[in-house]
Amino acid sequence: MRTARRLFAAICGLLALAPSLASAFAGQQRTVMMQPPGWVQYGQNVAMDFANRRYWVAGQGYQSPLALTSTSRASIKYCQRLDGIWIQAPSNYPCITGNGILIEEARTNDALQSRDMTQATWVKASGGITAALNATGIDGSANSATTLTAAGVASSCAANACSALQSITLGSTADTYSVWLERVSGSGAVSITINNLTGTTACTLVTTAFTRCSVTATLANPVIGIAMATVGDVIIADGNQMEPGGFATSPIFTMTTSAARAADSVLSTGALNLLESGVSGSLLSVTNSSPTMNGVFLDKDDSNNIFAQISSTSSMRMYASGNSVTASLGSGLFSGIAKTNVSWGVAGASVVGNYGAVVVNATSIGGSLTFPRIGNYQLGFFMDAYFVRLGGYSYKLPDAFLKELSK
Amino acid sequence: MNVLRCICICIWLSLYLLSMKAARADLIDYGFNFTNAAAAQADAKMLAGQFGVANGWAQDHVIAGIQCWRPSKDVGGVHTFLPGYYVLVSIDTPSPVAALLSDSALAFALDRTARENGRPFVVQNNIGAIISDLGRQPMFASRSPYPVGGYQ
Repeated sequence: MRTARRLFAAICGLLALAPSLASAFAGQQRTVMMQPPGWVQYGQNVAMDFANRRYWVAGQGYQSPLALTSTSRASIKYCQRLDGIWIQAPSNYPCITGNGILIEEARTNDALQSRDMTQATWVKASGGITAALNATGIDGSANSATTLTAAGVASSCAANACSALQSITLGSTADTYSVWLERVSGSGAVSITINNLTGTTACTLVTTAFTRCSVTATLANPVIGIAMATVGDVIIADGNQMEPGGFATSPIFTMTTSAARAADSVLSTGALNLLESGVSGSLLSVTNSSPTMNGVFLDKDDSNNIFAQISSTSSMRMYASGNSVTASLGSGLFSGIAKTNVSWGVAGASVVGNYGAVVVNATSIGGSLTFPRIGNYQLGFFMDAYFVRLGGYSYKLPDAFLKELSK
Repeated sequence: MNVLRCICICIWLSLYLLSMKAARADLIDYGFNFTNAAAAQADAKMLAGQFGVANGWAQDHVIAGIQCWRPSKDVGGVHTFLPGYYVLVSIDTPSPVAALLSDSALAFALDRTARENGRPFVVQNNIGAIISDLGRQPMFASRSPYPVGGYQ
């Protein structure tokens, strides 16, 4: 009886305490929401950490990425997780993984049956190579990729007997053929071709993961495919892709017809748009693996006013009211991690990358900003890379601080 | 009081989620057949100017110059492409765009989202029975391609 009475008293006590506990907790939540979390640099008004999927606005707390950016893309697309698996984003949604948000130009894959090399469109020379659709693909799907076995002709892969080729009718342009390959067994050479084996590109394969092998050439009517050099070798192939363009982009899977991935149009919206619209401000960006020249990665949607555009493998250009300046990365290349920071105010604008020299543009960034973009300029000059982070301040950071933050 | 607040939040959340769901629009593919590229550009600019941008087509929702053929006319798997200049415009609007549906160059309008969800997907068919014998490439990569004509 005494125990029951004590238990009853304890429950009553807890119930009495509950509202104050709830209030305390709610109060704490409010405090946390209004103060920047630890990953946000001091003074930032907007912070977008795509790679870790956290987005924050001063005074508003955590946000959805859809509150700060608006993506238009009339197709699905794939982007790669840190573990190597490619995941699919629906139409009109950003493709975000631990690598960041992938922003690319439009591309078409003209290679048919890009995953299923058992199909007749892939010609196996004299039966010297056998194909089976039974392997796990680059998207982690079972039985989606092709296992190729070098069977040989007269016990030999000589004269390219162990090859699988596909002919494509296309006008002359710079084309890139790429395919993901993984070795199952054997150690013989594996190569790819874009010109019917007139020339081949050697590929380095491992048994633990897919490796993408690619070749670029300017030619008409490419004949693409894979050639193995040693009878008995077994490999897995997935995501054959023949795309007009000077470099390979994210996978576009095909079946009986070619397929197109629409361009990513990523507009700044909400608090990010407001910040970029300001008379003065600063932006800190981290990008990864841009293979392209002239890619605009911070745009003010006015050809005379572009925050930052790649001008070489290691330098970027800033346009302020038509006046451009160029700054070099302090180290590294845009094909790797690049930390590019810009600031602007009534007295001019500054740009710096990877702790290089700060270059000042005496002209102030202006223009009638309507839809500033991330990763491209008016659907041209795409970044074709992952945007890892983006942070913004509503005031112009001192140049020394701007540089320090690019370390 | 807290219970009341909890109930209010639940109701608000439900309404918010419902409104979000309602706001999601279907992605509709509008296929156009023009005489040539110049005619396509001119017409696109007329149609609210939402297909074109300063340096060409708005590549986030337009494929210009797609190839069309009649699979029934293939010889040995080789297509004979139909004359004309074909443009595919894909837009997600709360309802189909009337200006596009009424355009004289419109060949068909297909609801891609409906197709992906197993609903009837032909919004408008201006080419009659040919639509079931019409191959087109490239089409926008999608989760569930249309099972009409020569397209997958």
